[in-house]
Amino acid sequence: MSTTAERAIGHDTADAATASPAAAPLGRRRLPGQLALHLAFLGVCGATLFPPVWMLRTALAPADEVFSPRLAPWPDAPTLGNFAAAFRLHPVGAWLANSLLVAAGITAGKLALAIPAGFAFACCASPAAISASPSSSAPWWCPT
Amino acid sequence: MLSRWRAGASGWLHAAPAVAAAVLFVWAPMLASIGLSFFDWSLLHRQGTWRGLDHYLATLSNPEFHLAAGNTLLYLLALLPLQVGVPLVLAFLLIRLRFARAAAAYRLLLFVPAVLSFPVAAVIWLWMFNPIFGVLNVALGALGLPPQRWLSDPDLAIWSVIAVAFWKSFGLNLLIFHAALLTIPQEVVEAARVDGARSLRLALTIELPLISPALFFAVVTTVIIVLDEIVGAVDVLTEGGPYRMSTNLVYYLYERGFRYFQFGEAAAVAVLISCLVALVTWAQFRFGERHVHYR
Repeated sequence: MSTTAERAIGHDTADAATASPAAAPLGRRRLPGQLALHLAFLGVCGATLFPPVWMLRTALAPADEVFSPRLAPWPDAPTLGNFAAAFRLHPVGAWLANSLLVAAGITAGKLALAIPAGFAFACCASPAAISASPSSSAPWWCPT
Repeated sequence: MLSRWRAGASGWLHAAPAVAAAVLFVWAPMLASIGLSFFDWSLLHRQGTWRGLDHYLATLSNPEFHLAAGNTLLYLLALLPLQVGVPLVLAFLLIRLRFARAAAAYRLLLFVPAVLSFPVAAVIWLWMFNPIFGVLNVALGALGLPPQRWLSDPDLAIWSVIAVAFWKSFGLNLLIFHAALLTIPQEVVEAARVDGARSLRLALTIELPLISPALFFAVVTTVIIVLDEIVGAVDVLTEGGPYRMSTNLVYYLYERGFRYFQFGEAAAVAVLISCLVALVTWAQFRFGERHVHYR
């Protein structure tokens, strides 16, 4: 048995067992299922964000605490001294400005080149699209 | 006739800047690299000595190259299912959440690692992998488990790099899949539900075919990212070690060119890698695109 929607997109799975007429009404989700989903996502988000949070915790910890093997989620005496030292010892401001300039330049350049090329591909099926296609994809398969 | 000519001219005009940039910054350096691969090139003397195919033959018979190629294959086999499968499952679950704002928040949080560059992500993990002060071994100790040499154990190092690469990159594919799922017409989904399709069947037979263009795009770009960009993590975390057990082809190229200054050999490796990636990408389009349903 195939559903109307499956037939509409050309699929016929012929699996009557999984299609139950007693399926939940439209738009209704069971609360325990939703709760489990939220809990699962909170867990996944926690695991995903742990490394940057640990990086922040390390950045705010004084040196003696950085080199102490303990699991405390937050330093006992948070300090901005590491940031001050980084700016004092290295030209971090210039690095940030350079990074910003490079990122802005690359973004603007990519958009300026890719939007008209995309338009050419989509709207003007012409030799231009044929010639531009391999040209534009080449950066993808060159090792950076 | 005139309108066709206008369309052609318009196409050329719009594509010209991209073509010019590609010729200048991609094709010309590529041709120069191909030429360089036939020479020994010295930075000091700025002159080349003709070597023919020697660099290619030396590369293809080098056991280190074989090891790098094998590791690259392992990276691909491990990361492709992870970086496509896990975000796909998460996207299907995300779309089933009742509260759209919560879904948007989860999507944003899971995307955070993707905004980091590979070297930055690797530096974060380098500290966490530290065998003495690293949080992972401290956590293992708290659980009564023995500490691990995450980056210096020959059997474990490559899997540590794979874990970092997966953590850093899965958010992008999640974003792509979730955006694609949001474009599915609601009436199609509701028609399937009226017909009795439950979540799993809905996902496999309705939603998956409808997002197959996004899935195909994600597979192609993930393969390229795994073959190419992972080198940032390899360099920071392990420098290809221990005993070259976590090196890959691009890191092998980097070492040949910028550690040993064998520019001719490095150019030959670059040509081989470009051919490999182009071949894999072509194969995906040739054999994979037929399964894509363009609406």
